[in-house]
Amino acid sequence: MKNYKLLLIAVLCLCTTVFAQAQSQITGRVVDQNQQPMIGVTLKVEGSSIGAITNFDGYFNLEVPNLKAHILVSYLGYQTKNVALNGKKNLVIQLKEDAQALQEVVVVGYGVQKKSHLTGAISKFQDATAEDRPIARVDEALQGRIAGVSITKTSSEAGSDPQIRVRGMGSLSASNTPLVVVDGYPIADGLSFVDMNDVESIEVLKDAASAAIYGSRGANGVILVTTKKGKASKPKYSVKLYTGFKSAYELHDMASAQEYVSMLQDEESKGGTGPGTTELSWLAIDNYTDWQKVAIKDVSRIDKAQFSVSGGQDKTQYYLSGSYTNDEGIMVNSNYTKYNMRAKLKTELSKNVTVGININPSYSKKETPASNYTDFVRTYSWLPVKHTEATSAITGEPVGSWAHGRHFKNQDYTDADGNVFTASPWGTSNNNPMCVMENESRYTTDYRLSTDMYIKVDITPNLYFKSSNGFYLKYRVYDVYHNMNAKGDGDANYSLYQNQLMVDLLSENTLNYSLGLGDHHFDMMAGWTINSDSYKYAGINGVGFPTDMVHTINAATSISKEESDGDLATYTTREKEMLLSALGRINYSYKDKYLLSASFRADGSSKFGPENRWGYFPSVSLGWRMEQEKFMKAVPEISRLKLRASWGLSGNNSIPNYAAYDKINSANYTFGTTSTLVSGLANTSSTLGNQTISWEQTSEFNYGFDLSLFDNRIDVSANYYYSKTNSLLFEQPAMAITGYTNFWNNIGKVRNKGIEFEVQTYNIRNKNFEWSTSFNISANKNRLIELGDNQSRILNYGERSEVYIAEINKPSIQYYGYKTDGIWQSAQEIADSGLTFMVGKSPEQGTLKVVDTDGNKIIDANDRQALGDPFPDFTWGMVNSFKIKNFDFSFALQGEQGAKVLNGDGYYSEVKKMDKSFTNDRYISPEYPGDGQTPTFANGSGIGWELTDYLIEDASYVALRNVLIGYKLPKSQVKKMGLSKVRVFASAENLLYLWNSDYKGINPEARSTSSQYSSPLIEGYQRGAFPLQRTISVGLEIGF
Amino acid sequence: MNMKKYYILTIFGIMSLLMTGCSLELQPISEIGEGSYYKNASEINAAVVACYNGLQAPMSEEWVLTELRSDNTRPYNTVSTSTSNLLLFEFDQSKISATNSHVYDYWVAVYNEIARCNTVLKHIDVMDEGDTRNHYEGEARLLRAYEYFNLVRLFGPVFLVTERISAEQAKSTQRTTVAEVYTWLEGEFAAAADLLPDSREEDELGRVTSWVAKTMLADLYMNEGKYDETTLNLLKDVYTNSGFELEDNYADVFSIDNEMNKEILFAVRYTSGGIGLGSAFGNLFAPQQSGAAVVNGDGKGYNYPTSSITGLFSSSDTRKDVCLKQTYTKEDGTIVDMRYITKFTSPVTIKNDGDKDWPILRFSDVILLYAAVQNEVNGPEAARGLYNEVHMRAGLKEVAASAFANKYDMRVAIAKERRLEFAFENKRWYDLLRNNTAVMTINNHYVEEQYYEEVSGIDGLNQNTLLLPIPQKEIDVNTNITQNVGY
Repeated sequence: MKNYKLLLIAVLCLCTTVFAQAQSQITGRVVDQNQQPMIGVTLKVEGSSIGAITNFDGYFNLEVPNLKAHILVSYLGYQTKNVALNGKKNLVIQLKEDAQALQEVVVVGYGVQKKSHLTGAISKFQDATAEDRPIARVDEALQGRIAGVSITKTSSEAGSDPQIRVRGMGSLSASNTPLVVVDGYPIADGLSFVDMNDVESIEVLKDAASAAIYGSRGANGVILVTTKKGKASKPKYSVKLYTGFKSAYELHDMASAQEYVSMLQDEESKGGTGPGTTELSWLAIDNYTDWQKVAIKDVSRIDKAQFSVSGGQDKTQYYLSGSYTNDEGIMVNSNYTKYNMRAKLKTELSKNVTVGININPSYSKKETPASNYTDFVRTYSWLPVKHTEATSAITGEPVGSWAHGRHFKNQDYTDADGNVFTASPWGTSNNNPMCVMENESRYTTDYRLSTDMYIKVDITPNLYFKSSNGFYLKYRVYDVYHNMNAKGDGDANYSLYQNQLMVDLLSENTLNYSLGLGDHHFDMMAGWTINSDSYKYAGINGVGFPTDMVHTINAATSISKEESDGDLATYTTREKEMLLSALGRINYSYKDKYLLSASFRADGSSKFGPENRWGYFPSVSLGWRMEQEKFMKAVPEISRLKLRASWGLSGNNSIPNYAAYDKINSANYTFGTTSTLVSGLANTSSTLGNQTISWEQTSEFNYGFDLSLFDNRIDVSANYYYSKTNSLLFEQPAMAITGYTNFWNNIGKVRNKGIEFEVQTYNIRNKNFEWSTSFNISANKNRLIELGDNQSRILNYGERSEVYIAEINKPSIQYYGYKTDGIWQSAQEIADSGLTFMVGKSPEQGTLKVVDTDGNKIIDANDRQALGDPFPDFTWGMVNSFKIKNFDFSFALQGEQGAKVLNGDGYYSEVKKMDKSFTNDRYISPEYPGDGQTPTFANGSGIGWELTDYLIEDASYVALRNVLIGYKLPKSQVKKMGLSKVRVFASAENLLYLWNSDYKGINPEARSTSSQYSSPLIEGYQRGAFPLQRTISVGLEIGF
Repeated sequence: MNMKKYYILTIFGIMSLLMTGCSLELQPISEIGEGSYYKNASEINAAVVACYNGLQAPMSEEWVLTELRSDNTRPYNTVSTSTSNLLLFEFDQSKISATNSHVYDYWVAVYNEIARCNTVLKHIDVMDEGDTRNHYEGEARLLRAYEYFNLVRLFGPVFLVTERISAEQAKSTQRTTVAEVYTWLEGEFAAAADLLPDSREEDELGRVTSWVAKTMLADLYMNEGKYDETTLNLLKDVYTNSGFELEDNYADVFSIDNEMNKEILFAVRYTSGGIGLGSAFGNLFAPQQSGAAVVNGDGKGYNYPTSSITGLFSSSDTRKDVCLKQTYTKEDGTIVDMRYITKFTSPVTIKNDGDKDWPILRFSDVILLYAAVQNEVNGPEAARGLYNEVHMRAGLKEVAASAFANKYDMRVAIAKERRLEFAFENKRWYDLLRNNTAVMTINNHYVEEQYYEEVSGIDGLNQNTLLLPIPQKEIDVNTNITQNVGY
């Protein structure tokens, strides 16, 4: 048979040569690997100017001089093919996608660059499976995927922002959040509303040399999001649906009232303190409520539907998409809904002029629970949510009404022997947390529109001008309604309506020029940008509603201007900021081997003092593509090796507007017997103005290499960096005797250095089986080098007076407090120690044994020392992907090692008493010391746990972040249905999550502190963490 | 054809040039940059008004630093785990830590008020010479001196900041000795007395007068132990010439319908109505979990009257019922036994938005100070009439001369009268300091008040703990500061 075929071909060839004498017309079709027609493919007869382009169905007609000619078939992103006609007049040409990394293009600031020619540290994230994960946000998909980018989901609340850090913490008071740029447009909260399905790729500019082109905003790294665009083709439709079910990974192991009293009774028999009347009264209340279960929904789901269509003709292409996401948090009243649309349209007006428009409206609504999860954890199991027959009998409150701790105060209780006694089971005056939750609603609604229009004019073949102009509007409404008696008896109702309008105008204009002179190649870019942001804030606070039936402020009896704590409640305020910039870059390569890139940006910002508005941000980087050298041909195993070195200066301006000025606000008063309001004005803030305030600058060196082995089967990329942030923007504490407690200043230095390592391997690549692995690991060391004013340290106090120290030559944040050495085993041991304790802080036996670190026999504030830092030693992630015939399978592991948290739940006495991870094996008496390390619950005795290292815990974890399995229906079947793709998939988040036994909480990633204490120098406090959530989802993807 | 692209380029070029006209010189929009303000009399007046506004913040903490440390009030509970209670226990039990937030909050509020006064004085020269200018200057200097007078009594040697200073300058500022602060205060009160008017128009009531300065100067002298003719004459002048007099009924002094009455020389004014000038005291002092029975929005149960002061009122003393209540009636008619202060309570619609002023200086204070100096200079009989003026106004019988055998008897009587007359008005602690009886009185109180039997770890009050600690946060910023002895 084979021979027969060969023969046939030979005969055909012979025939064609015979006819190939004169000009002939050939026809054919170009298809891709999937046999899909390719539109707009260029065909060109080699050595002539004759050419053609494929039409809508991939067909072409071409006049060729003879049938011996060779045809060059090319299309962007595909390998160019040289086809010998060999006499054929009709042919089907298949183009292969250019899989080689050599041609891979990476988005950089204000342009794109071939990956092979990159000289900075830029990581690219491109992962089709990310779309299938049951997560509502793009940033969550990046967790553990890029070396040097740490993403921490500090709250499990639906729709909440994760914390993102690129290469550690570089600033003390200004923001440490990277700049997010979506399709060239800097959008502060871009990651929260770009839909994962629309994402083509995400690039992270990590080193200062890459980020310097973003000048004053680049110091924290830049995340560039590129969305999908249409290609010339028939309309391609894609539909994706999934639905997921969430559950709590783990809850606190809280003792029930019965369990706790039994424990106390057991302890009493061992010389400990037994239950008092308070605890005994618990037994007399016939009720068991698992309050954590009350806080968590029975079923919480995440649903998503996404639709897109893309296509176009050779001159005009479009991409349109819409998506709906409904993410229910696992906690009651935690919900997030998002509608997102995107339209991208591009057309060639003429040979030289292209215009395009991108439009991205979105709407999202977030419901935030009014009670903290800790409040549920802390509620005793004897308290029902609403009064039952049993509790009604005790309290006299009607059955079915909200049950609160105070109802049980000073009531009569009957013990097992029938004795009646009076007791107060719980001192709290607060309403139960579910009542608070049900009686206060909090909604945040965001309306966004980001749009920009661009025009590109080719002035000469090598020179083009591009102008992009757009605006980003964001209108946020925050709606709160608080019912009467929501938090306690006599609690007045109110309604709060706040809105923020942000209008961000941007104009970016660049000239691009490329020039090849023999072995020398230049790419140059220069331009200017103008960015103006204006903000309008408004709020109305309505009070005294006669009824809770109407929640809008028209029903209020009056409007309150200020809240009792002095915060404005009814107001409008405005702010404006402006950024003018000039920028330029030159990329030079010699023989495609030696690479040089230099950039410069000048930024003028309205945020700073008049003398210091302009900042200048240069960068330079070098690369050497060693594989291009002759001597490397001797090492065929190395398919690619590039050495890189870079230096750059980038800035940070994220401080509040007008920090240069002493701002005067109203400070009114009333005079006269009729209390006439007279207006007064003073700087009522706690901040002093500073006219000299200016940029914070980060100077960073980066050294790295990119290595590919065995025909690109293994790609390795590694970086070492060393950065120093100078003249830190620091909201420095001022002595209060100035009248103010802080002021913005440029003072101090922080250093970050670290290594990053990324490896991608294609372990097996067969027709029916593919296996690839990617792994990344990074470590960052942060040091505070200087604080200025010859200061060596600053102490910052958190919400429970726990202390964080910023000390020079140490990590920028460390916990600071008392070191403990187990517990006092007996009263005798305390007496024998000869220690004097601070007034009111004398310990009892069984409480924490604070170490007298300065050895002066007095336990006081001078014994405090640094107790570890909240920064991880290293973070890592690994993804394994498999393709077996029509199945695809992947799993992603991710972890963080060595970060410490302060477990703030351990501050609460209810947690200290009832949480088994705090009470197991605890001290009872000198004879029964438990494990000798776990303190007993002794209220108000000794130093609070939160001030010692006892609550500082190792939050290292390893998470099986995602497991995904998909199945693609065979082509033949799909075709019958008139479709091009049908895939079903199932995905699971956090199937397995392991943490250190030292950690007593339920979510090592959680960080939460009340907002009035939130400061960049306070990190690692963890209170009221939602449980981790495990999500299992199934989905369907259809293409046609 | 190809020209089009040049047209387009030109359009964009022009557009961009237009936009570059944008300025980076952006001033605050919703606030005023200080540099461009305080240019004329009305703007200086706004700054002076802000000084009065600034009286509220220190006052909100003052009860913690004075009344709670005295024998007048205590926490209701003996044990509590809530941070807010633990912080208050420290004051009641005379073991205040330098990190206690009340100490810092008061410190910050007082120095912010001082900075407001210093701002007025910094810019006062934009005004022409004349009465108005003098009045403004007098007000700023008197309010500042009033705050320093409190500071020096609470903290001992303090930082005497008399002009606006930068954060840098603050660090090189040293504490000033108590004697020097007193000397400076004498000058300030005297100067304010000269600068300020003797009376205020009806619509300006609430602004201070020279009489306030004179009384405070006399009080200062008495703190320095100067019971002499100078002090006597100062008070005699106020007593005779100020035009202030006692209300007939004690209750009328604190009536919400009678604010800034003829007895009030100086008060921190509060106004309800959601304008940010309301008082929180009604809610802070009402019993916990009393719902709306005492005041809308429930109470915190702070500043609980001791048995000591409650028992000190005689049954016919009309002041008792104005100062405190011992029961409240719930909605369902049940009566709850619980003591609480009502002197500063007025009905509110919004929580913490009360209307009642907090008097700083009342005419009865002038009378009793005058009586105290008379007693020391001219003997008890010279003081007796003054003493009885206040005593009898409370519905009590005249005390005969036979009751006062010597100056000591009169001292004791005046101290007791002041305690009752000014119950919970933050006067008690300062009275104990003026009379040098704080250590003895408070330590006796720890023994006599039954409440303390259940409280462990009371070490008592001593000469060191008479002073508050300098806030730890201040020392954290400037480690060269010395802490008060004993902390």
